[in-house]
Amino acid sequence: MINRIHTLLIISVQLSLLLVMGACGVTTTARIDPALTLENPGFQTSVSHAPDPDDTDTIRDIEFMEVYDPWEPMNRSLYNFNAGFDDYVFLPVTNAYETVLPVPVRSGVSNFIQNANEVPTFVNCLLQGRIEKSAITFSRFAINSTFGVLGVMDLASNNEDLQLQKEDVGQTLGRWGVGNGPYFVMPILGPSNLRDTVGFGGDLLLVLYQMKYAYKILGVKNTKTLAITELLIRSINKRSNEPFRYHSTGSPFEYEMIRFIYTKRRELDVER
Amino acid sequence: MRQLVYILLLVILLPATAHAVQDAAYPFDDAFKATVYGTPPEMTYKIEKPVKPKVEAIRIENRKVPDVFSYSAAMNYSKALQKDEAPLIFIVAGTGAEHNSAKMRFLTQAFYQAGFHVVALSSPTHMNFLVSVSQHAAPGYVPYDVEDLYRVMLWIKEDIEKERDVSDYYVTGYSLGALHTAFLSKLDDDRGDFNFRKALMINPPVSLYHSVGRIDSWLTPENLGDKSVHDEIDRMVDLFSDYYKSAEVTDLDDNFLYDLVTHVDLEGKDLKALIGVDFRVSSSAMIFASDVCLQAGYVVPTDAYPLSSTTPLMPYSEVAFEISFKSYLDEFLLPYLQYLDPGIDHYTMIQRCSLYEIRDYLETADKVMVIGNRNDPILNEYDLSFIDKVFGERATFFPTGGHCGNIMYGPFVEKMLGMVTP
Repeated sequence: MINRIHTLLIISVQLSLLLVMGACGVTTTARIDPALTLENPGFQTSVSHAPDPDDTDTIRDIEFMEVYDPWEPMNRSLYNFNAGFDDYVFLPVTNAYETVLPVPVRSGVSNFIQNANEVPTFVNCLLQGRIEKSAITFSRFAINSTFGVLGVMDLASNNEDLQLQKEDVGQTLGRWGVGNGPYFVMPILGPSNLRDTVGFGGDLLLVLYQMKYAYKILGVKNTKTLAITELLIRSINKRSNEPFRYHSTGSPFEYEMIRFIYTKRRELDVER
Repeated sequence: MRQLVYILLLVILLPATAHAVQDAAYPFDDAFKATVYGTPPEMTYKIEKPVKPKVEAIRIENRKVPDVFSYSAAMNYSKALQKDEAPLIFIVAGTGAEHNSAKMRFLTQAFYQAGFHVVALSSPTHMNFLVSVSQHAAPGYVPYDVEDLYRVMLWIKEDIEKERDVSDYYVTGYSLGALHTAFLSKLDDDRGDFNFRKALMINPPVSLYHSVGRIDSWLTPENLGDKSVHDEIDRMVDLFSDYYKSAEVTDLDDNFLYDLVTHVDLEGKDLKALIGVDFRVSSSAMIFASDVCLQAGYVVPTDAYPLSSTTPLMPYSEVAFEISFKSYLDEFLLPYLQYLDPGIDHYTMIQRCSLYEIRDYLETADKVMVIGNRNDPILNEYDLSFIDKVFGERATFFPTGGHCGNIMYGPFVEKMLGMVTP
């Protein structure tokens, strides 16, 4: 029975994707104007501010933004790949998801996943020896799983003292003194570093283990289809809740900005 | 168990916080605080039914967009159209801002709610506009920037008229976009394409050159005292980091940013420096993009071309950040203008980027109006008296609000909408 529902679900999602994919995305109009082809006018400034690679003494105003990034050319390629993947696959799918499902359903799904994620967060809080965060996370899970109908409603967040905690394996490793390592742009998933990429593997293992355990309790037979569907929905939900859009900062230095913000934020997340 | 019941009670009894204090006075008297803090979320003008604007794009055939900007080859803009016939308003963004920046999103919603078809355009100083549609690819010279805007607006007009009936055309813009608005109105009066009913300038500068000069001065030793720009930014990053570590935040959204700047205790000179840094972030993006489009050797040495999409750009970012807008005008823009048109001198360039250039027009053009704040830090007393004298009754000033700080504040928005709706 459950299998049949899933097959139906998958088919209907695929159908609606096909329907909506054509409709979303940016419509581009082409214009012809020979004066606007950006031919090189041959102009050179007499003053140059070009960076001098030999000058390492001058303190630059924004040199705090520098991040250890020995794999930069590869990372930049991956960043561009991710932007393309976002435009042609991830966002169209996310848009379809947002079009097909009304807001209450989506927030239910989102809350349900968030509630399930309290478990790995709890494990990480414990691994870091953080008693208060563990208690908050445990209380949230208890309240939302019961009164919040298996986590579909996030009642706990109404209480100022029970705000969502975010702790992952990357943060735990950081807490244990593991350094960032080189900056790394993960395919599809985006900004990371060596430590957090390893951490992500740990997070994924925790989630898979949790899913396996839940399926066992529920007595699900064909776990493979269900697991793939769940992971897909988790990814779409995650993208849907993430407002970031590639190339939307309006800066040619977006890669550098994101790299800095990611690194700084993770540094602070490990500390707090 | 008892604790659980207690927690449950708390959860049920504490409603989600939502204040409605629309009529309370704008809270920040200080011009710099207002400019940085903006409007408290509970005092912003209420948008009842937000519309989801469509993003459209215009691409120029055969345009030689540099590889490193291939993602910016088409010019993006937002449009939100009413179902039936309606007037259409173009909104032009301020320096370095995109068509869907926070202020632009808000203005789009506000004008849409007031019954307009809305088209929101990025500033010609925004990298996307400059890379994709600018004719001369060196922003900051108002006559060229306005020609670029005007051309794009005509194309959009042509497309939209196939889709919907448009009763009248309007134009507005904030900050530098307000200066553009005045020139667009003048250009349209000469050419008669739109016959704008009203042109509303929101927080305009009087002279681009003078206003950016003021902003530049906030990053000079006179303002920063013994500190270098580097040390000042460093200190602010530390302050913000401390707040982030102590606060219960899980999302870096607009409300968080508001909480952050209002909770971190910044002095007057810090606020000024913050505005200056924000401006430099925009201008360095613009300077780099322009230099690469023209291969002018200003920031990127000519032998470094071609730049590819994998070239590290941090060294260029660092040097571009340290170029003041004034240096850009003197070292890059003016020589380039003279290269294109030897008749232009320094005075002409500055004059043509100010309202003085079209003073006669503005004195008699009843449709052009101004809304702003008396304590706008990009204006001095001469600028204010210029606006008073030239616009008279057509200029409305709020006593406080700084530069665009109250642009989302209920009474300001009501006044603003009242000026363009009959």
